[in-house]
Amino acid sequence: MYDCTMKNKTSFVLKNDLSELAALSERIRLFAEENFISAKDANTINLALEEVIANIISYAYTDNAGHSIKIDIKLDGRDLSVNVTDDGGFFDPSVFPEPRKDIPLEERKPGGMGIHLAKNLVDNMSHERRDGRNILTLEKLLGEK
Amino acid sequence: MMDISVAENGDIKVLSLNGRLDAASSPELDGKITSLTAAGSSLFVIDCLNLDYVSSAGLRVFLIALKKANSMNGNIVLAALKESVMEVFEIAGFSGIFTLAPSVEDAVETLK
Repeated sequence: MYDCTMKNKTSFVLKNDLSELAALSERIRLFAEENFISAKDANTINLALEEVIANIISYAYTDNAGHSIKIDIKLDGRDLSVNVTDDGGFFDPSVFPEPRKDIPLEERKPGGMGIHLAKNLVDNMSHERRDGRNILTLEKLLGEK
Repeated sequence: MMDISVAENGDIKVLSLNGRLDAASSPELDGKITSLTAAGSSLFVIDCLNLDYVSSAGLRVFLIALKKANSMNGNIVLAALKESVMEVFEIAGFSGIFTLAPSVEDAVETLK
């Protein structure tokens, strides 16, 4: 039986600046291409990661210093797992409540949607705090190539 | 990266978005809409035919713009949303609060 299972991984570091979102997209695009991940799945992963990373950039740090955010992507067959590690303050978006969707326009607040989106785009989101770092793990079973 | 081009159709401003509306590019759209509403415009069509990607930052700008337009007795219609963008709208619960149209022409008709 020919074993078609592929394992692959990539790691990279982003600065805590929104301009790095372009680099994030490019890295995901390349990984997707190399691993036969569909454009739809790549787009979904990009969006989930952007939301998580944008939150880290906006809320995890209280100084005005540069910080590194480490992204580790691992693909095992069609199981994708991404770790996002930052050294900011404790920040666990996996426990954020769902924003209410049934409220009328006048009462809608503009914020809070990013993490909700990220959670709904992946199969699992979990948080760990270790050695002064947040490690957020996103997992998704990808579709066919 | 995103380009915004503005066209006029009577009182209606048609903003065509080209590219990705993310946390980095959304301030530009926000600024554009703010300056147009400050100058008195309250009817907008957002042409999303070439909008490949929208994240929550983009949704925020749309929501703020809609509230502003409504407060001026105007409205915003989003035209030609791509399927992937539509999914994001649905997850965020936005599909019920925005007026959508399949094309810019239909959107303009809706506002007239």
